[in-house]
Amino acid sequence: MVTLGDYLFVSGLLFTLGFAGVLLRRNLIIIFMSLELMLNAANLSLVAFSRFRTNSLGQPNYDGQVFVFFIITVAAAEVAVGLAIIVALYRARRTTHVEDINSLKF
Amino acid sequence: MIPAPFLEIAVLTWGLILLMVDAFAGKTDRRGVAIAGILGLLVVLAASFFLTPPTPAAASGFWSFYTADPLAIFFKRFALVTTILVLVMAIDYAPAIRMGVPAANPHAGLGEFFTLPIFTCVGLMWMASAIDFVMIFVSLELVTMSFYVLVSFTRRNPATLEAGVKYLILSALSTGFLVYGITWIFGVTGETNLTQIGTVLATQEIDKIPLLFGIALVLVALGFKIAAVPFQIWVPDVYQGAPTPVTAFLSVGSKAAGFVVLLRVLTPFLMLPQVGRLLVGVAALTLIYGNFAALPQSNLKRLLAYSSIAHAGYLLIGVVTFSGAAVAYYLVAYLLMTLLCFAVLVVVGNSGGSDQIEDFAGLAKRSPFLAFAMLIGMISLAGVPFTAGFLGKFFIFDAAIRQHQTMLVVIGVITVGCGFYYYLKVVRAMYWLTPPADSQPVPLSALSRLTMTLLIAAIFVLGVYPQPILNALDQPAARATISMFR
Amino acid sequence: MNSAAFFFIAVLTLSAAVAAACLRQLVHAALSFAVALVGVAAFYFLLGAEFVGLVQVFVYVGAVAVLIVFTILLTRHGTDENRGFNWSGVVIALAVLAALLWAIMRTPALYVAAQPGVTVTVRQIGEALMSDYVWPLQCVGLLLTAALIGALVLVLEEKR
Repeated sequence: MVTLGDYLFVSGLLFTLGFAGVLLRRNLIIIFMSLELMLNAANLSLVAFSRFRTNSLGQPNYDGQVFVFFIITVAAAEVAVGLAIIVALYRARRTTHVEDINSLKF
Repeated sequence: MIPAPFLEIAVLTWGLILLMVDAFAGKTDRRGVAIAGILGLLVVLAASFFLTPPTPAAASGFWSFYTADPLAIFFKRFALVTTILVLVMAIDYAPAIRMGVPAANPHAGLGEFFTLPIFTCVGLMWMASAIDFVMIFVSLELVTMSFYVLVSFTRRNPATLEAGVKYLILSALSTGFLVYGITWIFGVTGETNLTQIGTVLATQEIDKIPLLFGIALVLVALGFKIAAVPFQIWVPDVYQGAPTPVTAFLSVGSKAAGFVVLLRVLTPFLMLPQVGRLLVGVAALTLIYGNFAALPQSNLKRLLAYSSIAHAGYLLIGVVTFSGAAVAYYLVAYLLMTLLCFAVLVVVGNSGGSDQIEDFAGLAKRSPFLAFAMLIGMISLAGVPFTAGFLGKFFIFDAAIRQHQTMLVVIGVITVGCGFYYYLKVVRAMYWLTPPADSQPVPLSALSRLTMTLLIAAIFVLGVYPQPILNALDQPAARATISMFR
Repeated sequence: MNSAAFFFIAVLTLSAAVAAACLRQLVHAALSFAVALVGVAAFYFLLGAEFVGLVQVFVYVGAVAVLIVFTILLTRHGTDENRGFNWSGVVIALAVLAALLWAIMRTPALYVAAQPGVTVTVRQIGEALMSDYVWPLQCVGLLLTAALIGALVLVLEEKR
């Protein structure tokens, strides 16, 4: 039988994959996709928690699902603004690489 | 008498109206939008002194997300004052915006540059009142989203765009951590409301390990917002690259909101001793890193970035010792002196100078008033007696001594010594070095002169008479909040 | 049946996520990213959260993935050549994974099977959003406005 722990395990792997993508990849678009994977991992565990933590009437705790709804909305807005910044950077510098962003010292 | 939520609604409506006006204003001067924004925020600030007292019983539905306790009201006023001062700076900064935004209309982008801070202000005010993780998340993201746009606003300048990209990636990363942390806390307790989480933790047997994992992730995310070591890596570059008024807004508004959320979030979790030990370590590291890394800086904006990290360290001492009043006073002092420095920086930077400290050489001979304003800002940041900055540090150290945090006090006193060196370096450039031969006096608008005079006066008045700030939080409900920390 | 479905979706989602984070070709990575998002949506249906699953398909697969493909086309940057390898990044990522697995393993309470529960209906979520959650909902509305203005300000290019 599938338990809550199994869902959390998958979500944890997804979160780590996203985090590793952010740390290791050098292309801004891929870094951005990896960030979205991290948010998806959080959403997956929220829905799993809300399904398995039932209240006394046996109904799922739907607060978790409402939160997921908010996270998805915010993530979509973040993608819109983030990709706009990346496009603006490409127009100015003809690059989407992290290494090329070095006019300020790190 | 006005119910507290109307404050945000008023600011929000005013911002939307100004945005519409801007859309149909054609080629007229956009500075009127900023003036109207400042006036509107002043009205709301005045209205915040005529609020209906909150009804204590109602903690369900709407009021389970929103609180109007004195801490919240105090930081709503804080957000309003910060935004007003940032808008004053933004008016002075308008020529740089015109250069930085590629468009045919010379006024393009200005209206947005003046209205987005108003929306950010709504987010900051909501954050001050948020007592539910959903509300904290959503208002934090509103603030962050506006800052994404504001930081990369002058996109002709490559350094600004790069600062924007860095801020974008690292903020989005911290959002990921925040959400995942909240998820675990929700999973363990089944609640997102901070009060109910506190009740669950006090009454039920809870698995400590997943809870600690969750709160650690949330603290990582808040560490990004308040610029605590080791999550400060974005600060120097973003502060240096962003438009100067935005840097000022980031370093005061964003940081203060981060500390309010930190105070609120920590309340239910303080029974876990690991959290306290973690915070002591972070505070010590932040103090040491911020102050020592500021020593060799030659760019004033970058210097102020490291100084902002250092001040986050002093504020964290206040958080560790759970003295809400000391943190609030320190934040007010920090607001006054930081915004004063940035206001001078905007004016001087506009008149052809850059942000390098050597460009301030001999400023005292060119523009004695501006040099004096910067001098007051710097000595207050350093913590010279009779300024607000000194009393702020005094209250923080006093609280730390009472809580027997000797290690933090020692580190704090040593780093204050470092602070004297790098702040007085700027003063030396202004008063002892000779100006370049072709230098002109820096033009200063009447509005900015008035604002700077008020800030200087406030630094000295609060430096000898701190009671108004200390009393603002010392009301029955506030005492309840603070006693929860003790 | 349920276990088989879970196993299948998990393998699909995770391998798509690995591909999205590792592939050199941007367009391939974006397509794998879309597959991973569909996989997460399938998890939501499996968990009885039909509304969230639909929102996931509409917003993420329908809008976010398409927006990313658009950006890839707009920036037309062939491949992502890896210059050097960031070992400290690997160490940090593995440390987070270890902490996560530790948190999951050490909590026996997590190993519960699902009760045959009722699914959450759209009506319940809608009522919650419009009553208790109306304040965060307003806040998200303002956030979307700010994001809309911001995205326009940042990419609008007028001819001088």
